[in-house]
Amino acid sequence: MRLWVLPVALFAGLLGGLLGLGGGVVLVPALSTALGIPLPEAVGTSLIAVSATSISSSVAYIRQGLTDTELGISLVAWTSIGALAGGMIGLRAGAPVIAAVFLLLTLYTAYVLLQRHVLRRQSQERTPARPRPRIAYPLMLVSGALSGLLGIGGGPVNVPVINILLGLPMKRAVATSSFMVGVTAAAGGILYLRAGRIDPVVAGLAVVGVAVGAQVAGLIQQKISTRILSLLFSGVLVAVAVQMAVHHL
Amino acid sequence: MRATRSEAGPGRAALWAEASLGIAGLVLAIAGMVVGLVDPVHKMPHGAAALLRAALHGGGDGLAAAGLWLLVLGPVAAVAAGAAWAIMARRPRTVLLSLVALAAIAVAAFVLPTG
Repeated sequence: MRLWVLPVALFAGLLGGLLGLGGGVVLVPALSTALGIPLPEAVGTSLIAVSATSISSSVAYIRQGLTDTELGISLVAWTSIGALAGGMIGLRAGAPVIAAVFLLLTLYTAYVLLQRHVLRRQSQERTPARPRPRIAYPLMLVSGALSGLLGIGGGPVNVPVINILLGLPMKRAVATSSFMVGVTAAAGGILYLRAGRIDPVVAGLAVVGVAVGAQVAGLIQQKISTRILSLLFSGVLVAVAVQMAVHHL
Repeated sequence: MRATRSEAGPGRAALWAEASLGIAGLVLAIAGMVVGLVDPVHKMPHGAAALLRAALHGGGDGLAAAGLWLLVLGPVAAVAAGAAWAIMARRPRTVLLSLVALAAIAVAAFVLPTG
C-alpha cells in the first residue's frame, strides 16, 4: 500500500510543477481517498511534498530568470504567518473542516480562472493596470492559512494575486509562486512534523514522486501557453472538487 | 546609489541555499524511505527532540525524519539568504519582511503547541 504513494505523487508533482501549485491540490485527496491515509496526515505529508516541489521547480525557474525572488521573500512573511494559523486549525478541527474548505476553494478558484483566462478568449496576456499591494498582502495571509489547513502550497491564491494585483506576467507569477510555496509549506509542515502526524517513509515516497514529476514539468513548462496552463488548472480543480464531494461530505 | 549586484536580486543566493539543503534532505529522505520499506517500523516521532533522537538512532524512519527536516529547512535557508542579500543591498523593507518570515517559522518549530 505504501508503494502506491509513489505513482500518485509523481502525477501530482507533474501537474503541480506545470501550474505553480506544488501538487497538493491533487496529492491530498489522492492520499486520503484513494490510499486511505487520514486527512490530517495526508495534509502534513502533502506539505512536505510541496516543499520538495518548490525546491526542484524554483531552482529551474530562478535559473531561467523568471522568479522575482525579492518579491517572493517579501510576500512569504505574510504567508508564513497564515500557515501557522491554518496548520493549528487543521490539527485541531480535523477531516470534516478540511474537506469542506477544500471543496469550496477548488470550486471557486476553477470558476474564477475559467472566467478570466479561458472563456474570455484573450489572444494576448493582459497586463494589469496598476499594482494594488494593500489588497494583495491580506490575501497572502489567506493563502498561507489555506496552505497550512489544506496541505496545498498556496498557488491557487498566490498566482492570481501576483498576476492580477501585483502586476507580474503569468509565467513570472507562476515562477514566483513556486518559490513562495516552499517556504509557506515548510512553516506548516514543521507544525505537522512536530505533532507526529507524518509517517516519514510515506512522506519520503511522496517527496520522490513529486520531485521527479516537478522536474519533468520544469522541462516542458516553457512550451505550454498561458491559456492551456489555466485550462489545465481549472480542469484539475473541478476533478478534485468532485472527488472530495463523493468521499468526504 | 545601488550597486550593480544588488539590482540582480537575491535569486542566486537563495537558489544555492535552498538547493544545497534541499538536495541533502532529499538524499537522506530517499535513504530512509528505502530502509523503511525494507524494515518498516511505523513510528511517527512526536516533537522536535523526538525527531532528532530518531534521526540520531538511524533506521529507516530516523533517516527519513532527518531528511525531511533538512528538506523543509531548504526553503527557510533561501529566505535567510534573501535576508542577508537585503542587508547588503540596503533594502530595509525586505530585511524586515524576511525576518518576520523567519520568526514565524521559528515559532512553528519551537513554540506553538501541537497537541
